Amino acid sequence: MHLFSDEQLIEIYLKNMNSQGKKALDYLYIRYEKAMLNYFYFALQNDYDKAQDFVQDLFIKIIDNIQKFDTNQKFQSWIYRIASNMCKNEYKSNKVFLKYKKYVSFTSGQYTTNNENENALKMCINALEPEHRSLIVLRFKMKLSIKEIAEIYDCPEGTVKSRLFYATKQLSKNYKR
Amino acid sequence: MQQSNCQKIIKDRKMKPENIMDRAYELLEEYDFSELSQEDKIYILSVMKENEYNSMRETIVDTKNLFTADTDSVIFERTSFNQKPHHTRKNSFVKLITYPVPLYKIAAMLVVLLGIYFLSKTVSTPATNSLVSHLDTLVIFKKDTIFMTKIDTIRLLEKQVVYLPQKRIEKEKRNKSLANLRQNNCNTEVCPENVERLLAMDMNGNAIGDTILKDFAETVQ
Repeated sequence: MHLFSDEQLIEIYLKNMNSQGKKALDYLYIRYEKAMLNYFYFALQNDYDKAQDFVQDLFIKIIDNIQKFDTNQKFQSWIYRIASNMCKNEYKSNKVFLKYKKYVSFTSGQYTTNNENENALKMCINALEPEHRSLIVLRFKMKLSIKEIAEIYDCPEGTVKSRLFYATKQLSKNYKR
Repeated sequence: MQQSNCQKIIKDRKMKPENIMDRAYELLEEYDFSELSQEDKIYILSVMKENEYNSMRETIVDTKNLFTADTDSVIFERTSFNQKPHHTRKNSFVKLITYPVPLYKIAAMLVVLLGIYFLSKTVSTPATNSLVSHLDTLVIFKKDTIFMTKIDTIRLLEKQVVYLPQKRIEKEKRNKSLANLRQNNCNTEVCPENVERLLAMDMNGNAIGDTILKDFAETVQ
C-alpha cells in the first residue's frame, strides 16, 4: 500500500513543478519502471535492450503529455494504454512476429523436457498476434484483473474475456500441435 | 439430447455469442474439465470438445507457471535495485565508502603505488648488485677524494717542511746579488780606486771629454 496514489503524485507534480514535484515524478517512475520493463520485454518478444529503450520513451511521453492526464482516471490504465499503443506501432513498422511464426511452424510439438516446453511456450507466445500477446502478458505476467485490462483497452470486460479466449485458443493450437 | 440441453441453457441465460466465450474463458481460467459442474460441462461441450478444453486449460496453467517462474525477471530485479539510492539519502562518508570502483582501476592504482615504493627504495639504498649504481658510487668517491682533501693536504705539509725564516732568505738573496755583480776590469774601465786620481786631474783640455769625466766622477762619489 502506497502513501500516495499514482493520481495524487501526479496532482502534486502538476501543482508545483519545483523539486518536490519532480520527486513525485521520480516516485512514479520507480513504481512503474520494473512493471513496464517486464511488459515491454514480453510484448516485444524478449528483446531486453528494446524494452529498456521503450521504457525511457514511455516516460518521456508521459512527462510531455502529463497535462492531458485526467486525474479522475486511473494512471495505471493510462500508462498501459500508452505502452500498448507503442507496441502496436512497433509491430506495424517491423512485423517482427513473422519470423517467430515461421519458427513455431517448424519446431513446436517436438519438446520433451520441462525447459524445452517452456521455450516452446515462449516461442508460441511470441508468435501470437500483437494484440493477443499483449493481452496474455497483461493477464498472466502483469497479473492485472479483467476489469483493469478493460480500462486499459477502454472496452467492456466481456470483450476482454472473449479476446482472451481466442488468444488462448490460438496459443493452445500452436503449443500443443 | 445433450445438444438440445445445451441450447436450452444458452437460451435460458439469454447469451449473445460473445458472452458464450466470456463464460467459457472464466471457466477455463478457474477449473479443469473434471472439476466442472454437470451444467457447466454441458455448456462447455456446446462450445468446444472436451480435449480442446483440456488443451486450452493446460496452456493457461503452463503460461501462468512460465511467468511466475520466469528467470528473466531477475534482470528486472537488478535494475530496480539500482533505483534504491533515490529512496534513502546516505551521508557523504558512506557514499565515499560504497562508491563503486571498477576492479581494473584498483589494480592499476596498486601497480602505480608499488612502482613508486620500489623506485624510492632503490634510489635511497645503493644496490651492490646493480652495475649502474656501483659505477656511480665509484666515480663520486674518486673525484671527491682527489679533488678535496689529499692534494691540498700534501701542499700544506710541503710548505711547512720547506718553510725558511725571512732573514736567512734575505741574506742569501743579498749574497746571490753580490755574487752576481759584474767586476770591472780596472785596466780598461774606471774603478773606485781611480776616483781620487780623476778628481785631481786637470780638467782643461777637450771640453767634451772633460765634462763627461767630471760627471762620471761625481756619480761615483
